[in-house]
Formats: sequence, C-alpha cells, structure tokens
Amino acid sequence: MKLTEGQLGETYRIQNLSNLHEIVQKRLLDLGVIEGVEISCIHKMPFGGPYILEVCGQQISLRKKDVECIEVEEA
Amino acid sequence: MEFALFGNPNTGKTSLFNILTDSYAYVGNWSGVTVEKKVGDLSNNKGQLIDLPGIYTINPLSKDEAVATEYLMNGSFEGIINIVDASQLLRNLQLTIQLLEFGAPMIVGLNMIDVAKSKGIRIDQEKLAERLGVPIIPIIARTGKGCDRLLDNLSVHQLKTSSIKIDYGPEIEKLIEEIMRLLPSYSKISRRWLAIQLIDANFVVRNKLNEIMDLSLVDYLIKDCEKKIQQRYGEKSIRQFLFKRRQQFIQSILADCVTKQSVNKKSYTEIIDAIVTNSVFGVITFLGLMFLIFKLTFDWLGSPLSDFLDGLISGPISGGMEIILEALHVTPFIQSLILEGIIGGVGGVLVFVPQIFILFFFISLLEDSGYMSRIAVIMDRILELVGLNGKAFIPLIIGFGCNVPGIMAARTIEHPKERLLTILLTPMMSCSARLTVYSLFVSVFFEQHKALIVLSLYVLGIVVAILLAKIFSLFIKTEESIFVIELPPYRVPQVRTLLRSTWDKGKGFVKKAGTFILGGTVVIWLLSYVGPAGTNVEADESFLALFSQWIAPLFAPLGFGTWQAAASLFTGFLAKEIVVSSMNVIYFVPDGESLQHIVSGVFTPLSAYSFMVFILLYVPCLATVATIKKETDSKKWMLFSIIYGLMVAYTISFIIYQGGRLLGIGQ
Repeated sequence: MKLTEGQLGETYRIQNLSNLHEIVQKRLLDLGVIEGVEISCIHKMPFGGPYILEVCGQQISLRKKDVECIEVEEA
Repeated sequence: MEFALFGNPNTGKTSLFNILTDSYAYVGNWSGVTVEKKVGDLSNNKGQLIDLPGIYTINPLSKDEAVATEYLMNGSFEGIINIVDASQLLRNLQLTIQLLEFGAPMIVGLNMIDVAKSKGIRIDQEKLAERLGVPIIPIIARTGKGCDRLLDNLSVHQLKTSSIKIDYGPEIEKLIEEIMRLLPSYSKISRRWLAIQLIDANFVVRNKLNEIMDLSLVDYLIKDCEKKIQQRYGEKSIRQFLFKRRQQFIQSILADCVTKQSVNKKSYTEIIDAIVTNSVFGVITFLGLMFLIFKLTFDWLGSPLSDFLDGLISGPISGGMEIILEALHVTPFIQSLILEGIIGGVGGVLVFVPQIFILFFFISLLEDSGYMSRIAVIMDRILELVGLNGKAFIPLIIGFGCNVPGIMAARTIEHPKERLLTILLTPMMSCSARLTVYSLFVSVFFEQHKALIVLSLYVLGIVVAILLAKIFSLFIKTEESIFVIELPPYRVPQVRTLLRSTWDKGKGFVKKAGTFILGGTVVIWLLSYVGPAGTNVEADESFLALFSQWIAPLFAPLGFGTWQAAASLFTGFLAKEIVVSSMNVIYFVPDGESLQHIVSGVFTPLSAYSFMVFILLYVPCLATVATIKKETDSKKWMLFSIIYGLMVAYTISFIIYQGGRLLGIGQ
C-alpha cells in the first residue's frame, strides 16, 4: 500500500521507492532510506502540505505527492 | 598548514569551527568557481581551518555540496577533520568511508557523545579507531569538551592515512581495476577513489576527468557492469549497490564497537514538534514568532537603543567635534565636510546599528536552534503553489538581514531553476539597510504604529515576491520541483556561536558604514557643496540639485518629485543606507533630529509610505547586484533583476500614492 494510506505514528516497512523522482531517490539514499527500512509518518501539514517522517533514527520531510510514491507493507 | 573540516549537515560543524578557530581569517573566492570559502585561524596558531558545507556523501546533489567535493579534489590541505554525529553513526560513516578511501591524513571528531549516551548508545572508541585506521577524539562541540585534545592532535605526524579497503564484490572490483587502468597515471588523487566516484556517477569528478580524457569507454564499462549487478543481485542501481556494500562494512564495524540499549523517553524535539509542526498551531506559532521578533527589533529593544545612540551622536559627539574644529581654526570647508558630511551622513546610518544587530541575532537564533528547517516545512505548501520550494524560504528569511548572504544561501536548493527563481526574488526581501529608511520615516509619520507599518513593508515584500514567483515560473519553466529536507533535533543555541554568527553577519554593515557609505557621503556632500557658481553654494544651486532636477519629475506621480528625493534614490543604488546619509547631507542637517523635522515638511504620510515602498522594491544595491551576477553566472539575469525591480517599484508606488489620493488617505 501507499505510505499515505497508513496511520500516523504507525511503523511500516518500505517495499518500493522506484516511483519517486530520481533526485529524491538519491537524497533518500544519502539519508539511508532504502527498501526494507522501517518508516513512520509522524506529522502532516494542512492543505495537502508535506509530511514529516521518521526513518533511520532521523526526521525528514517530503511532499505528499512523494510520500504517495512510497510503497510500504506492515512491519 | 591547512586543514579541511568535513561532516554531515547538522552535526555541529559550525560549533566545532567556532571553537577551534579564533576568527574568520577571510572569506574569499575559489579561482574559476563562484564559491565562497570560510577560513579560520586555528587557536593554537598552527594553521588554518577551512569550513566546508555539510554533505552526506562526496557525490553532490546541490551546488552547495559540490563546493566540498571540489575542495577535496583541488584544495591544498594537509589533513582532514571529519566530524561525526555519534548518535547517527550508520549514516555519518558513509561519508567517513569515502574520505578514508580518498586517502588524505585524517582525524575523526566523534561529536555529540552526550546525545548518543542519552539515547543508550555506547561506543568503544579505541576499537572504532582501530577498525577505521585513523585517530578518533570524542568531543561535545557545543560545550567545547574534548576540543582541546582534538586541537593538540592536529599535526601531520599524528593524523593517519587509513589503509582501509572495502571489497565491493567481484564485478565492481573488476570494473574499478579496468577504470584505473584507463585513468592517467600521474594523478595526485587516488585512482581507486576516482574510479569508485566515477562508478557512483559523481558529476564533479566526472566533469574534472572529462577535461583531460575521453570517458566514453568508462561510461560503457559502467553501463555494462550495472546490467550485471541488476541481473545478479536484483539491485536497482549501481549507486545503491555501492551504498549497500559500504553499509554492510559499516554495520560489521558497528557490531563490534557499538552497543545500544533502548531508552523509552520522549525527547525534547518530539514534545516541541507536537506544537510547532502541528497542522493548526504550526502556522500560528510561526507568525507569532515573526511578530515577536519584529516587536523586539523595532519597538521594545531596538528603538530605545537607537534613540540613545542618536542622542549621543547628535549631542556630545557632534557638539564636541564642533568645539575641537573651532579651536583648531579649521577652514569652513573642512568643518562643513566633517560635521555635515561625515558625522551627519555616516552617523545617521550608525544610529541603526543596534536594530540591525538585534535582527541578525534572531536570524542566527532561528538558524542555530533547528527551527529554520521546520519553517521550510510549514511554508512549503504555499511556495509550491508558486513554483518554489519550502527551502526557498530560508534564503528569503536570511535576506531580511542582508540580501547578499540570502542569495548565497539559495545554493542549498537542488533544482537549478528553483534556485534561479529564489535568487531573483530574494532582493524583494526587505534587508536591514532599508530599515534605516523606514526607521527615519516611521518615527516622523507613524509614531503610533511603528512596528505595524514596518511589518507591512516586510509583508509587502513577501507578497510581491510570491506574486512575481508565480509570474516568473510561467516563463522559467520549473519541471518537477524537489523537496527533501532533514529536520535536525532542536538544540539549545550556544551563546558563543550565537554571538559570533551575529557579529559575522553584522560586521559587514559596520564596515560598510566606515568605507562605502563614508565615501559615498563625502561625494554627495561635495556635489551638494559645489555648483556652477563655485563652492558653498545654496543647495538648490549645486551640481547635485541640477543633475537631480532632470530625473525628479519622473517621481512626481509617486508623490516625491523633489530633487532631494531623486538624488537620494540615485545614490541609494550604492547601498540603501546611503539614502538616509544623502538626505542628512542634502538637507544640511548634522543629526537625525532635525532631519525628521525637515522630512515632516516635505513629505506627507502617504508620500512617505509610497517612498518607503519604492525604496523596498527598486534596484537591489550594488553588492546584491554583484552577487546575483556571481551566483547566476549571467549578466542577463543581473540586468533583469535591476530592470524588473524598477518596474515593479514604480508600478506599486504609483498605485499606492494615486490610490491613496483618490481615497483621501494620509495627506
């Protein structure tokens, strides 16, 4: 499922990142975010704004359209 | 002796730099590249430390990060200090490994051991040092703990070159060997490192090698190998494969050296973020904070201090100087130059130093505490609508202090077109120099609503920038914009770092007052002192008046068609503060007090507001224009920024003045 369909605060495992823009994929790789890693959404901004995610012991923020491209499964 | 400081973003690099060095020796340019480097003298006088932008890997995404890679390849350093966040070792060591592969003598500063401890992470430093093959010094950069030891260890015979070699697997190792054979043998940089970076598609390394050799065979070999990797290991890309091999290596080290106990405690960051990045309270908190900063800068703290300084300059200093000059029997020409030109002009600008430093202090506070990246998240949705990115808000906020560092901060934006847009819009942000003009006018016309009127100008700048962004983005087609940002944990800002970065930002203003503005003021004074009829002419008969009278009618529809206003606007291109100095000189007033009196006779509240709006939006100052040229590397965009500024300023001032007249406000 898409990460946006998950619950806030729940932890999921990343299944597929290849639908993301290439530059986003590269930056996520720099941050250690790859398939198989656990991820959770902790906040989301109003009016379809960005999400704040917790992954690999750090917080990062991505736009909603990018978070939609992250496919996850139950951890 | 030169040392380079490398590390991930938000690992305390700036704090460490501030502790290890006494002062910025200089900020200069790299030859050929439009890049700024910060150099500091080590406090044990044993050499210099180069501060580089924070990077996650040697393979850059943004222009900002490319600086670090370029320095690594072309710089003349003797050793590397790699600062590493002890609580984020898995990620931080990716960079460390790449630096070790590069093969320069290195020492690791293991920072934030206190944070790591509170997270239940225990690190066996000796074992880690042994496995990495370089010395490791545990430090807490924020408090300075351990930094003396780091400094003591900074000498070439103590720094070690690691013999670390990661096995990237048979396919990649074969590829590395093949590429190494193709590379020129005289390279001073490790050929294995060059080969690995080429495989990783590092564009800085690639561009540099492309200058001296044909890379088509290398590209073919890499493509071929990538296919094999994809087939055999099911890996998405060769880059990800390299990353995973490094990560496996790091994990094997960490398994030996690090133990982790889980600690179940809510961190400060989580608690603060529950409010600050809350979907409702986030925006309210942000706006509230901004308002508070403005109130403090202009009303509660800044104004009393400015008034005090003004009293000092116009009273004892000006008076004392007059007595001294009288006693020395100095000619009236020199007397007039010093009292009306220098003290009047430069003093009129120096009065605003407190407000400017307070503003810079708050900007440093926002940067240092970790809140700045949250602002980017909060503002992203709005900026996305106009083809920008939340990260653009950071250069814009820094632009409130001074447009020049604001434009430079746009380097962190990965997307070239978004970066260009941000650079073009930053001059709309009302910088502290423009503040001097507002301060003068609001104290005359808007005594009751000082902060509100000034805030309205800042907001106008932002609104205009947002509207222009929408218009520009129709022409400068931004493809898909990128927004990935790390939110570092909040940190209590260190006084030392705060004061230093406030000073580093603000000193330029003081320096400018002593050089540029002094010179400009003297020239203006001279032009207003001499005329076709000789020296010491009536102001209206001076060269300045004659010249300005030509342009003045242009400004009549905006409400300020006097030659004095035209002259000060013209000189304001040098630096916006000069507008105030010029007025001081032109109206022959030695201090702010009576200038205010004169101004109240020449302007109406409406024309004063129109004038302030014009000052806000018209041509960026000389230094900003030069920075735009440097950062965009294009004369075309520089000219564009001047022309569109003038057009926008004229249009909006026109609407405000004529609209106000029709409605009968403020006359």
